[in-house]
Amino acid sequence: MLNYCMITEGRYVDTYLPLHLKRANDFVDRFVLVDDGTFPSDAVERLSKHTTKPIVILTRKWDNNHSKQRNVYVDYVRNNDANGWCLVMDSDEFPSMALLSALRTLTQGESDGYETPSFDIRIPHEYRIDPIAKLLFQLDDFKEDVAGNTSSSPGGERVDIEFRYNELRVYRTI
Amino acid sequence: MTSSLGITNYVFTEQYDFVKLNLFKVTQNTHYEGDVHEALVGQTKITRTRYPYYHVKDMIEVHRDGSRNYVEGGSGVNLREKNPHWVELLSVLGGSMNWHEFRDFYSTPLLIWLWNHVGDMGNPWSSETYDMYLWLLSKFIIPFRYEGTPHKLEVPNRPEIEDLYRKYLFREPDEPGLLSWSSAWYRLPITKIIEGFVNSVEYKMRKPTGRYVVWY
Repeated sequence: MLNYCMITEGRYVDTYLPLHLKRANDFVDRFVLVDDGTFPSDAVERLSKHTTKPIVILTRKWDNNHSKQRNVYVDYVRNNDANGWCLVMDSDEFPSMALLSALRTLTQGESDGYETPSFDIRIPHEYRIDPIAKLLFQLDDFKEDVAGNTSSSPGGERVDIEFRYNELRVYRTI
Repeated sequence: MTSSLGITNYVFTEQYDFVKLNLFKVTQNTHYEGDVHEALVGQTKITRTRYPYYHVKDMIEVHRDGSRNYVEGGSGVNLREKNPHWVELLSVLGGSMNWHEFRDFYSTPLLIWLWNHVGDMGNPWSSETYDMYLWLLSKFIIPFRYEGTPHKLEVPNRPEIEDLYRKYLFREPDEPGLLSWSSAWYRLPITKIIEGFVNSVEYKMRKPTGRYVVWY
């Protein structure tokens, strides 16, 4: 059983979390979300629209202790899966398609843990993370971006992507 | 059409030196330890992969995270009492305060603390002191501006400013220009920043013809 695990907050229910659910839907078996006590009461209903996989929400009031917060999903997986794996992402972290595609192979290997490198995307402040993340990840995959293709976002807004010399540029129609 | 496009720049940085143990099998020994900087323990065979994850960072979020690390852990890797400024901050905050309380906290003693320490350089907590200043500046009215010369690492948006210089002026930034645009970066939208470059005498004199297309 491959679990997509996160510690997260209520403010992400309508912003980042749908992106996570859509992106990983075809690659994992279950989502395990640890709510810090700020999730809305209808969070499951709202989130379920974005995935076909089960969503488990575990609530632990945030008390400034990251380990205890994370051990909630570790304990859940330990108690519910005989051979449980966790892919852990923070709210503002997203697995690459390469990582998602390799999950099944990796979890059948000899190792019981894998380290993955971080690629940072730094954005100016006035472009808030939410629309930017939507913009980037609704394009579905960076492989198109790297090829220098032109895509359109679902909102009809034209977006040109250019990837040169390790720099990703997004040109957005005003 | 090129002329109808607005530019949004994203610096896409590979950080092969920073990895996370974020895919693991849950065994009887698997658990996290530590409070601010938690670590996963209990795994017996760990392999580093080449498959990345993406971390989307808003610059203000970077400063916020630096501030949070300062407040919760004394900056650095849980420096706490080893950082005398943190001990002082704790006193200002009334002996204890968690991040959720701090982010709405605004007081004269805090401003005085910031005034005294914003220019701190050369210590493991210096960079995050500057993060604190920039984050508070984005959130509250701060009745002073830090006009000192920050350590190189303390210009967190240096890559973005250098990129603008290379793109529009075809050179590396001079230090006064870097600091000036670094400050403006937090006050103005990116379109205004680019306008500033494009309208400069230097840009107009050096604008190439035929060889480059400048998108803005």
